Amino acid sequence: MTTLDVMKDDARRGPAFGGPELDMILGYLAYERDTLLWKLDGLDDEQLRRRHEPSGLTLLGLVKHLTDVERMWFRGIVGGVDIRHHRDPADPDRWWRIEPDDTTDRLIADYRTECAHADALIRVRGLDAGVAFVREPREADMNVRWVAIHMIEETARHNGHADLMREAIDGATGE
Amino acid sequence: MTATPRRTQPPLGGEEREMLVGFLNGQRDTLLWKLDGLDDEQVRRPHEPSGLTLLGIVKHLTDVERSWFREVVAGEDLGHLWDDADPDRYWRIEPEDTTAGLIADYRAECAAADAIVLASDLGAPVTGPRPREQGMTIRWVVLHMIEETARHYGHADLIREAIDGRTGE
Repeated sequence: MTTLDVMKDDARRGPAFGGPELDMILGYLAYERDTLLWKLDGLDDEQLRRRHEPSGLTLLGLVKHLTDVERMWFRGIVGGVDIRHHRDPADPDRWWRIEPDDTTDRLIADYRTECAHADALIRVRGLDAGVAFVREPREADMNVRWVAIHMIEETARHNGHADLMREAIDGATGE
Repeated sequence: MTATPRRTQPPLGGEEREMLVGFLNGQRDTLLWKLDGLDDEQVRRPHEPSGLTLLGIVKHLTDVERSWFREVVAGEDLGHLWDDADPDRYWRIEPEDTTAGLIADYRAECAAADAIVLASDLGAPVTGPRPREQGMTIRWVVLHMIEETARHYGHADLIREAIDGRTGE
């Protein structure tokens, strides 16, 4: 059984202590995303797919879900790309479920790709820019800054889930 | 107990400082919302294998807010609150700790933090850095507090679900 080697020796990137707002936000985003993958490191395919009860969450499911969330917020809402074909209202669990043909490496590569799209959009548009796709009138004032900080908090929250799931799998803990 | 009926929503647009403080308050409210409707035994129930408790998360984050904002950012001397021989001090719920008292302490520490941030330039260096924090700006501390609180209420999500099945963002 092969185990995942995705963040060996804790090679997480992190934000510099100082500098411009944009760089620090991108640094925190990178740190949260790397922390998620670090939580998967050294596990095998079965462990990555093991359900945490009672929720039924899986570590790999968190990665797949966050890939969809990054795509929805950045390419979809910030960038205005039509992503409706990725979603099916009749199947809300689509991006939590690991399919038989989903490989661990592929899902991690997809996540990395989507995060790179997100970073590029944040840099090109800038934090003060409005979003291209306004879903409802109350979101008319939403700017890129809000989306980016929300993505930091959402990823950090899921990292909190991953902390307890990983501990239940093999006892490993750590910030 | 009713911890927090309405959670703060950060403004969707606008400048940095007001939005960061709005996000931070949304995080804190979400943590307390995760305790809402539970009794004293439930908020003290250890979640295995870690032994974390919901009320212990609140007590820990009270210490974290105090340490980052009053000690590191504002430079207050709070050394008397620490005991290096007892690193679990702010995770452990003592017999004399009341739920309402710990939540009030958390709220008070968060209010002190907000007052410091709202009077600060986010790009300014912190006043009381420890040796490894040289060059740290207030912006870094505020964003760190957002991610640390979010990560802990991620823990609270699963702990609460194990207590009574309740979930929710």
